[in-house]
Amino acid sequence: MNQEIDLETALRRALKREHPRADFAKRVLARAAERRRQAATRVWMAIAAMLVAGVLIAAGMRNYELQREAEAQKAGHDLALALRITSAKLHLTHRMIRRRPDGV
Amino acid sequence: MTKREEQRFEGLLGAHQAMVYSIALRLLRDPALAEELSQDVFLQLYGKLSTLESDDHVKFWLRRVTVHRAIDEARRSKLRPKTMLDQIPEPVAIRREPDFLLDEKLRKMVAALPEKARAIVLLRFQEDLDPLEISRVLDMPSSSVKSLLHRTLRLLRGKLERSGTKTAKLGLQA
Repeated sequence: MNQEIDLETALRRALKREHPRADFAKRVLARAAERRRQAATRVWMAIAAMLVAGVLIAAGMRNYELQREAEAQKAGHDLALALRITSAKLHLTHRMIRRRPDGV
Repeated sequence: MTKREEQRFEGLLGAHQAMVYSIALRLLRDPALAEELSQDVFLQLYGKLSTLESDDHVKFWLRRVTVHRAIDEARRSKLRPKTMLDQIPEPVAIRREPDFLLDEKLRKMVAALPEKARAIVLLRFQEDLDPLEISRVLDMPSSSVKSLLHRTLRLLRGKLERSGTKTAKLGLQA
């Protein structure tokens, strides 16, 4: 003679919750703490990266400004030289004209 | 995360670890994999805790995430039953079956069910959810939950009866 069972009651009994290992919570908390540390490290690394990027951008801009200043200075010198040469040529031409006997 | 949230997380971890682990274990049938998945679920909760206001919401979220992740993992790892329900040998009928043998037999039968059917049986009999709650966890119509639960119980009952265990003809509380 077989035992008659109520399947649903039997399933409830058979499928009772089981507990994980005793140190489960401890290990989850350790992983959470590790994740927190990693997140903090990532924040600091992002801040450091932004600072480095800021310094590089500032240095680049300063370098660009210096380059522009140097170019402007060189252009100024070139202009002054060109004006001096032109002035000398004009002066020479003027003297040559004044030396001609017919005065033309 | 504030100190208060840390304490809340620790409380929730203590309160729900057995639920999460049991769902994962019975869907994955591998204690190590189940524990790893349970840890991942709690870590996901850790990052999301501030958006989950009530503890009921957290419980619902944990069940939902665990079931979906475990079903995905089971499918990915090809953990489909190595022994299908029909392949489980039908034990010789014994005069009086001790409970632990019956429990073991039922657990094996449930473990051999397809993932969706297994999840429904677990949520119904392990977590004591009604079909409407199960349908919310699994994102499926409650009518589908009811019919799948009904079919699965009929299948299990038939299998048990063929193995010599008579089951009471009770109406399904689905």
